[in-house]
Formats: sequence, structure tokens, C-alpha cells
Amino acid sequence: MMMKKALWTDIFREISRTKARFLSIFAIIMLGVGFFAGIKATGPDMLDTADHYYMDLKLMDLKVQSSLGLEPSDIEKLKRVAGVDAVQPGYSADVFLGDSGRIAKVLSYDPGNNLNQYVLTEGRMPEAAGDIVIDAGERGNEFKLGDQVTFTNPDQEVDLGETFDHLTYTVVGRAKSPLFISSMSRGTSGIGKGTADVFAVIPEKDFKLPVYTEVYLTFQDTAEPAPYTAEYDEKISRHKEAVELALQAMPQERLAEIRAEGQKKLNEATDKIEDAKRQLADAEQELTDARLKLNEGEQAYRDGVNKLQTELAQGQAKLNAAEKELSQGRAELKRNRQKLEQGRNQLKTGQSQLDQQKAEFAPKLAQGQQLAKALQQISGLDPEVIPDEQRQELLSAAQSADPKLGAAAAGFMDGALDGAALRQAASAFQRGLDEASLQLDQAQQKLDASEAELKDGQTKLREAERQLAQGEASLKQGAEELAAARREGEAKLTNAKAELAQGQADYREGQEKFQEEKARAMREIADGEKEVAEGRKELDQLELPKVYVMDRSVNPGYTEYSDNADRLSSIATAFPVFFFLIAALVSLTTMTRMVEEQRLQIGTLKALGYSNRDVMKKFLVYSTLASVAASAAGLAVGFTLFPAIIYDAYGALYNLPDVRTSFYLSYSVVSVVVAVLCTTMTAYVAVRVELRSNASVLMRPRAPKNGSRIWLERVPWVWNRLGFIGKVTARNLFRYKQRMFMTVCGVAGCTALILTGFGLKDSIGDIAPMQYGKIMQHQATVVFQEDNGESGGLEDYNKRLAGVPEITGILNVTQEAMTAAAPGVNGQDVNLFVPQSPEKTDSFIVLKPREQGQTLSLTDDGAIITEKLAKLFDLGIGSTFTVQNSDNEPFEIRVAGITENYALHYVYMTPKYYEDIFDAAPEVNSQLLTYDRNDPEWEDRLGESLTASERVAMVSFTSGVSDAFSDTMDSMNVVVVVLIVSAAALAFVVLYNLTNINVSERIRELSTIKVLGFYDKEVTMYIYRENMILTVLGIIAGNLAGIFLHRFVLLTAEVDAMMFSPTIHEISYGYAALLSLLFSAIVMASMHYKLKRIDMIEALKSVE
Amino acid sequence: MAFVSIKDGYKRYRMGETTIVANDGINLEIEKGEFAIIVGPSGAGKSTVLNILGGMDTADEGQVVVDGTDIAKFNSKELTGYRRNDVGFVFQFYNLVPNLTTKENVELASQISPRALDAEQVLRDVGLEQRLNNFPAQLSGGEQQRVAIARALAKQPKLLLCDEPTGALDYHTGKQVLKLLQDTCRHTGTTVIVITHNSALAPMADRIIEINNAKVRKTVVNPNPVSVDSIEW
Repeated sequence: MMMKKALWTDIFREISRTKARFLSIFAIIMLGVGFFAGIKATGPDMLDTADHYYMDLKLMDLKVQSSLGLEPSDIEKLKRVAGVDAVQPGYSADVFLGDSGRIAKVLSYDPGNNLNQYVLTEGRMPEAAGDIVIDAGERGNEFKLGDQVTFTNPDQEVDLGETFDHLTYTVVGRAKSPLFISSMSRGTSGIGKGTADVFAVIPEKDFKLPVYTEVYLTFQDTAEPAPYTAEYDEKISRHKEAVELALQAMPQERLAEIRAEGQKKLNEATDKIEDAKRQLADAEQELTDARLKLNEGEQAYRDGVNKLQTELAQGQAKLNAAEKELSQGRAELKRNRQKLEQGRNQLKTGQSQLDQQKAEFAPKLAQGQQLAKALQQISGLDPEVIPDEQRQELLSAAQSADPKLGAAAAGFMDGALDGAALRQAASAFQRGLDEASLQLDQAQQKLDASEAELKDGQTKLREAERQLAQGEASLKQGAEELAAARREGEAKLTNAKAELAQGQADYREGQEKFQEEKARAMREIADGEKEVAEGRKELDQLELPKVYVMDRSVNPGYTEYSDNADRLSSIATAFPVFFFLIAALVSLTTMTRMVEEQRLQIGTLKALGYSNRDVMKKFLVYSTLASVAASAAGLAVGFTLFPAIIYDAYGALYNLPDVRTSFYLSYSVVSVVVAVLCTTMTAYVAVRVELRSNASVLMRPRAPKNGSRIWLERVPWVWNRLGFIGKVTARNLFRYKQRMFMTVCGVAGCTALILTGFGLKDSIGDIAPMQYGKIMQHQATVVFQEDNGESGGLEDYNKRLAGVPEITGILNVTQEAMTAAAPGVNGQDVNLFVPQSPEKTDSFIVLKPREQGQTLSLTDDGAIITEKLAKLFDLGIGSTFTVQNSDNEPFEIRVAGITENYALHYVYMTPKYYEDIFDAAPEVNSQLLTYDRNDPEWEDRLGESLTASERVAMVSFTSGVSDAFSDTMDSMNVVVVVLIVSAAALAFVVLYNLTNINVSERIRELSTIKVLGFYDKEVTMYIYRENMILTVLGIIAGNLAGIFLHRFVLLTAEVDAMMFSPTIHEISYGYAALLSLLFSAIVMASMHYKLKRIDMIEALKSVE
Repeated sequence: MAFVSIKDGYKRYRMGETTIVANDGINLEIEKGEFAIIVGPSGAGKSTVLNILGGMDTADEGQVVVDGTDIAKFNSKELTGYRRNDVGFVFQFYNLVPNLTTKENVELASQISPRALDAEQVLRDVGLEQRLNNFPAQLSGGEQQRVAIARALAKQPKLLLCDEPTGALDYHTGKQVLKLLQDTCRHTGTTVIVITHNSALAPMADRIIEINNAKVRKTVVNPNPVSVDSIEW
């Protein structure tokens, strides 16, 4: 067997000789394969990344909850389910975090927990009581390590102390959880606005709940198949059944248990009530008894008082009598004493008088006596004998003693009188003196007698005094005794009275208290009885608790993620096919050209005696080598580049780790096979055609293609108007139909892709300005605290609002989160929106169908729903659909209108319609504000002012929301750029290739005109005039095709909760056209250089 | 001063390591209005000379003077202009544009030429008035060549260069074509240079240049050229 070395040499030289051709096939195949494999792989890579994440962190397979919680006995039952691997019970509760307005799902954590592990981004997991770890997501960014966080719930009826051991925690870390792969959504909540913002983790021991709120399970056989596969789903559904079976008896048991407990409690309560009632009666009885006793006591007191009074009166009377007597006695005594005193005084006076008299007299007497004596003595004498002095003395004495005597004396002295007279006088005088003395003595005797009387009287008096004194003493004693008795008696009475008073006071107090407490007790009893009655009713109404066994689809973002991955896969099926098609056509043309060029050589080989197979070899090897090498390169780039780019684009929506790229054998094989088929098959077919002719034919030039009239020539009024060159161009266009078609396709494909790229950018970028500029006309939304009518907060809030003059409109609204459900469609979160004043709505939200101009108004006969919702559930005006509230209660809603909307789903209705549906009046829980100030600082201040009101839970600004939205959507720009770049590459390769072929096929023609003297530019234009027309045609076709491609991509790439605006901006068409023209121009420029360098002579020499 | 002259013309082709000397010191002169033929064996360098004269190739060395201008110094653009205005070329394999009708093929040349004649008229002159709207594929070889000649003549070139114009034609048709060329030369005064293998044509020409082995070996001037009709071969 010959080596055919020369043949192989030729084959390989061909490759190096026609590098451009080889590379163009290489390029287009690489693009096609890379694109196809890459995008096809993205979906599975996304799922794979999630799968490993779930596996590494041991995400639960099933979550079991029940409306009455789960007990250890239930846990045991679950542990016994066949195939179960880990059973992890836990606690959870929803709370508000401090004043932030954020709602947190608080989960329990135990270091022994194996399932649903966390990935720490900062700090550590909770260890001690009071530690808390906050969600690492954006909404948790306001909580830094070391911050204090307090659990609150403004609802008065909720006591968080029943759920948690304490309410203040310190942030020790931030973490991600595989339960929440969505970067924003944290699921629904039973409190506040209805959706949770973040999750938080605290140690299990900080929960005080009596039952577990949920149990997580994993199974032994689910470690292997990836989630999101049918196999996994099947296993899970079987396990679900098993778990449901295991807990089948639970509801009944629990119900009985709860009933029994409830009944016991009710009985206890009833007993207590009875007890209380009895106690009340007893107390009442005691009071009555006490009253009686008091009455008795009062009576006794009164008696006592009377008795005392009487006795005291008696005593007093006695005393009075005695007193009177004594008084009399005293008076008498007094009189007597007075008398006595008088008497004594008299006596004293008399005595003193007497004494005085005596005293006076005594000397007088003495003198008198003396005198008398003297006189008598002298009487016998002659008066003349008496010494003058004496005489004088005697005279004066006598005179002073007694005038008569004096007279006598004087008389005597004078001699008038005789001695006898004198003696007589003296005697008289003496007698007088004696009389006087006698008198005095008598007086004295009298006095003495009086004195004796007096003494007697005094004695008597003294006696009487003594008696009196005794009597007085007696009286005194008696009085004292009486007084004592009175005092005692009074004291006793006072005591008794005091006691009585005390007793009365006590009684009154007791009575008051009793009344008070009775009233209270009655109230409490009444309450208690009411509660008992309620409890009894509740007990009667007790329903079987429901057991919910949920799989991973209940985690926010879980299903959505796989939907996104699926969407990518479906785009991956459509898009790259496009590419491949073009790749196939391009390689067909290229290989055909190659075969054409090699015609002579083929003939020569055949003539030399090489077999058909040998001849084939060259082309097959060439094409296979090109396509296989290109496929390899395409796979290498595609599997790594595209998944990474697209995953990053979705990155903002999910908090998963970096993408894991894998090599997918199936995609590789498919794409390589297709690639090789495209190239090799076409080569084979082309060669085969040639090989049918025999060697000689082949070595002769191919009969030139006949020129022919084109249909346009039959239209003389057009044809004649075309200039010469126009006619040439027209004919050329129709001469090479296949290539014309190919060029148009190539350009159209490029334009379509670019248009789709820009269109996507438009559709996605339009959402924010349309949603938050055109549709939502309000600038801020204020969310109120769940309140039970605290009007104080309301006043303060309204005052704050009134203080902002820039506010132009206020609309009170009720907003509630519900789920719309229908079989076959993912459950969708819808926002129920009930404006208090429906007629004011259009200043705040524009409700208008997208395709028409008339705004809709809310009426009472149905709700206006948003377009995407209608699309998803296939609803028209008049249809009905079901929404469920957080308790899964269904409500039927009628559609009265469909409005344009781009983000989330809304159901607008009037308050009356709300009442009709939900059987309750809507409670205003938020407010929309319009104002015309466009200043972020001013908005911040407004926000602060409003949130300071205790009525406000939070304020969100449209500007902030729309900005955040735009940022998220910017990540889509990456996808857009990818498309545009791919389009450019595609366009360039196709156009270059085709133009190349065009040129090489018409090389003789071109050389001829070069010879004829066409300048280089003219030569280029000769070819290029056709290309221009084809390019323009291609752009038009491409723009049209692009509209459809764009629609297709939107349809498949749209997430449920959003509608992309299907409008492509007019300028995008312009961009697409411009870019296509640009690529065309670049190709032309490179062609120009090639044409310039055509060797006319060589070309014209070759036989053809 | 000769109308056309080449002085010491050299043309070398480098093909990898080998150098092929196509013209190794060519010296020739042709007077205005002459019918000159260049004869010689294959590979002698005849076509190279014609190509140089026709402005399709440049001599590596030497002077190429046509109507007083040394075109050897022309750059690519000047050469194109030269070809456009002053040269008409006729190939062995006609090289008509298959997509254009007879008339359009001629118009292709007349449209770019400043001194163009009316295409129809020229075609009439070559006897193809019946074939104005046919495509080349619908013409016989001779007719095609006549179209090519018409195309060349429509420009009213200074030089009409023909590289083996009858190579693909049978005896009678070939003769017809040669007659046409001769008549053109005589009637319009166009300088015609024909390359041929056929030395029997010598009598019809005013000048015969023999080129062999890249050099001009012999130049013969014929004072009395005869009509081609009278030559038999």
C-alpha cells in the first residue's frame, strides 16, 4: 500500500496556502460551537453550582410544619420514617427589628445542627444567649457587628416574651443561608407588610416555645441525584408521602391531646371561678357578720354610754349635792370665818385699839396715876409750893391728861380750887383713870371674852373647817372618784368608741375594698366565664391541625432559579441553531468554492489514476481538521466563558457562590458532530458532484454560467432608467443567487442579533423609567405600623405631613400581599392595592392598557390587574382568578380591566369591592405621596421626619427603588454586550468569507476590468455595489427578523414577576443598521486591499 | 522618435529561490500606425513584453516609451490611467464579462474612456449589429473575439495589443479576426501589436519582431504588407 506521501503533502500545503479560507471556516465553526455549547452549558452549570452549594451546606430535603407545632413524639415518628438521614427540629418566629421597620425571620441554631448550614461572611455563629447572626444580604447591611438589636412587635396582643427568652441581642456575625438563595426575597411573613426582609439566627436556648415550629429532614438516597432533576423530584415525592403517612395520626392525636388539655384547663378554670365565687360569697358573709357584730357593738356602746351617763349623772348629782352642801358649808364657814375674821379683826382692832388705848393710857395711866398721885400729893399742899416746873409740868400734864383735871389743876394752881377739889378732881381723874382702866380692863375682858368666844368660834370654825375640809376632801375624792370613774368610763367608752369607730372604719374599708374587689372579681369572673365560654367554643370548633410537608420549592428563589436556568437552556437551543445554520451555509459556500478552484487538480488526479476516495481525502481532511480544531477551541472557550458571563449577569439576583463550569460530553458531541457535518458533509457533497464528471471534463474549463435576462429587464420603465452600472449590478445580483441569499442572510443575521442586543437593553432598561416614571406617578410610599387605632400617633403624623408644603397629593391605601394560584403556573406574589379614594388614583398610579390610550377607572364590579399577571394566567376582562392570603384561604376575583405594568403584579380594587370579596373593610396601612421636589437630600430629610412619627414603619422613595432596580438591570448589559460582540464576529466572518468567495470566483472578470483601466476604487465598487444593495436588504430583513428574535428572547428570558417592555427604541434600529454597515465597510476596506493586489496577468492566464 | 520603444527592458520573476528572467534586455521600436507582430516559441517572453507595453506589468529595468512618455516609471495609478485611456487589449480567451450583453461588454470599456466611440457603432463596424443584445455564451468564439476587439477599439486607444487573438479560433474565423485587426490598423491608424506563434503571418505585418529566450533576436521591417486574405497556411 503506497504511502501517497505526495498526496498528503498536497493536503497539508493546501491548508497553509489558503490560511484565510481555513481560518474563516475555523472561526465560524468555533463561534457556533462555542456559543451553542457555552449557552447550553450555562443552565446545567447554574444548576450544578446550586447543587453543590446545597450539598455542601446540607440543605434540607423536606420541611415539616404543623398548624399546632411539633412535639418530641412527632420527632420520634419522623426519625422512624424509612430512608431518613437527619432529622433536625427547630424554632422560628417573625419579629420586627427595633425601629428599623425590617421584618426578620428568626431561626434557631444549635452547634450540633447539621442541616441548612450557614456560610459566614463576617464574625461567628451564635454561641451564648443573646448572640444573633444577621442575614448577609443587602437588607441586613444596616446591622453591623456589635450592634444591639431588639425584637419588637407593635401589635399589643402579641407578647414576644412568650416566644423569646430575651428580646435584645448583640450582632456577632453575618451569614448566608442555602434556604434563601434569592438575594432579595425572604418569603412571606405573618406580620407587618407580609414579607420578610431578612433572616436572623439566635441560639436555640433563647426560644421559649413549647413546641417546635418546624422540622427539617434529609434522606439517604437524595444525596446523589441533583436537585432540579425528575429523579430527585420523584424520590422526594415518595418521601413526602412516607412522611405524611408517618404523621398521619398526628393531627387526631394532637387534637385529642389539645382537647383534653383544653378541657382540663377549662375545668380548672371553671373550678377556679367557682372557688372565686365561693370566696366572694364567704367574704360577703364575713362582712355581713362583721356588720352584725358592729351593730351589736354599737348598741353595747350606746348602752354603755347611757349607763355611764346615768351613773356619772348620778354620781355627779351626788357630788353636786355634796358640793352644794359643801358650798353651803363653805359659805357658812366663810361667813363664819369672815365673822371670825371680822371678830378677830374687831378683836384685833379692839385689842389694838385697846392696846393703843392701853398704850396710850398706860403712860397716861401711869402718868395719870402719877399725876393723880402727884396732885393728890400736892393737893394737900399749897399750890404755891409747888415748883413752877413741876407745876408747869403738872399742869401741862394735867391739861393734857384731862381737861377737867387740867382745869382743876389749873384751878388749883390758880387757887381757885382747893386741894379737895383738886383731890377730887384728881380722884375723879383717878377714878376716871381707874374707870378708864377699868373700862379698859372691862374692855379687855370683853375682848378676852370675845377672844375666848373667838377662840371658841375659831375652834368651832376649825372644827367646821376640818369637817369642811373633810367634806371637801370627800368631795374632792368623790369628785376625783367620779372624775376617775368618768375618765375610766369615758376612757372605756372612748376605747370602745374608738374600737367601734375602728371597727366601723375597718368595716367601711373592708366594705369598700370588698365592693371594689367584688366589682373587679365580678369583672374577672365575668371575663373568666366569657373566656371559658369562648374556650369551650374554641374547643368545640377545634379543627384538626394541618401537617404541611414541604420540599425545597418553598424556599424563596429556589424554583425561580431553576426556571431561569431552563430559560437559558431554551434560549440556548434557539440561538446557537441560528449560528450553526449560518456556519453551515458559510462552510457550504466555502467548500464549494474550494472544490471549484480545485477542479483542474481533481481532474488531474483522476487522470493520474487516484481513486475518488483519494481525491475526497483532501477536502474531507481539510474540512474535518478545520471543524474539529474549531470545535475543540469553541468548546474550551464556550464552556468556560459563557456560563461565567451569564451567571454573573444573574449574580445580582442570587447569592450563590461562583459558578462551577463543567465539561458536558453530550453538548460537546452534539456540537462537534454538527460542526463536522456542516463542513465535511458539505465538502463531501460538493466534491461528489465534481467527481461524477470524468477526468477530461474536469480538466476542461467549466462551461461558463450563462448570462440571462433577469426579470427586472422586463420592466422597461425601471430598466431603462438604470444606468449602465446599475444594470451590471442588477444582473450580477441575480446571477449569483445562492451567494446573494447567503450575504443577505449573513447581514440579516448580524443585524438581527445586534437589534436583539440593543432591543433587550431597551426593553430591560425601559422598565424602570416606565414603571417608576410613567405608571407610578407618586414619589414616596409611607408604610404605617400595624396599629390598633392609636390616634395620638396619627395626629402627630398628620402634623408632620402638613408641615411639608411641597407635598401635592396624599392617597391612603390598603396594600396586602397575596398569592395568585392556578394549576400549571407557578404561584405568583400579587400586591392587593385598595385606594381609599379610588377617584384620586390616577394622580398616583396610571392605570391604562398598554396598547390603548384611555385610562381605566376603578369600579366596584371587579379588579384591575396588571398585564403580566393576565398573561401568565391567561385572563381577559370578565375572567376570574383565585388569590390566597397568608392562611391559604382562597378568594375569587373578577377582572374588570388590564393595565400596563412592568414590575411585580398588582391587583387594584375599590374598597367596596374589597369588602365584597373579603367580608371586611380594608384597613389603611400605607400612604402614597406626590411632591415636585427632586432633591435627594430633601427626600432624606422628609424620610427622617416621617419615620420619626410612631405611626410610620418606613418610608420608601420611588427614586431609591428605581435606582436599585436600574442597578440590578445593569447586570443585564453584560448579556447585551455578549450578543453584540457575537453579532459582530458573525457578521464579519460571513461577509468576509462571502466577499472572498465572490472575488475569487469572479477574478477573471475583475482582472479584465482592471486591464480595461478601471481604477482600484472602481474595481472595488464594481463588486461592492452589489454588496451594498445586499447589505441594505440584509439590514432591512435583519431588522424585521430581529423584532421576532427579540420577542422570542423576551418571552423565554422574562421572569414571571416582570414584563419587559416589548418596544424597541427607534434608535436601536439605527444602531443595528449602522453597525452592520460598519462591519460591511470594514470588510469592503479589507477587500479593497485584496483587489488592489490582484495579479491581473495570472488571473487572466488561467484556463477557465 | 519611434512611437513605441523599449530600451533595455528587463523583467525578472522571483519564485522562492529561483529567478526567472522573462525579459533579458529587450530592445524594440514600433512606428505609429504599424501593424507589428511578435513571434517566438512558448516561454520566450512575448507576453511579458506585451504586458509591459499594455501597462499591466512593469519592467524591472529599462525604458518603455509610448508616444513620448516613459511608462516604465509610472506608478500603479498612472498605469491604470494609461491602460484606461491609451491601450486596448485583446486576449486569447476573449475575457468578456459573461453577465453582460455584447453591447454592454463594449459599453463597459466605452463608459470609462474619455475618447470613447459609440458602442453600437463600433459593434456595427465589426459586423455584430445582429448580436447587440446577446450574452457571450450565445456567441461563437469568433463573435466573442470580435466583441473583445470592439471593446478594445471603442476606447480609441493609441495601442491595440493582442495576445494570440486567434489561438482559440479555427482557421477561417481566425482569419476573419486578423482581417478585422488589419483593417482597423489601416483605417483608423491605430498601432496594432499582435503576438502569435504563427510565423506564416509575417507578410501581413509592417514589422516582425522575433523574440526568443527573453531577448529580441530579430526585427524585420516589411515595406509591403499584404492583406491577410491572401495568405494561406
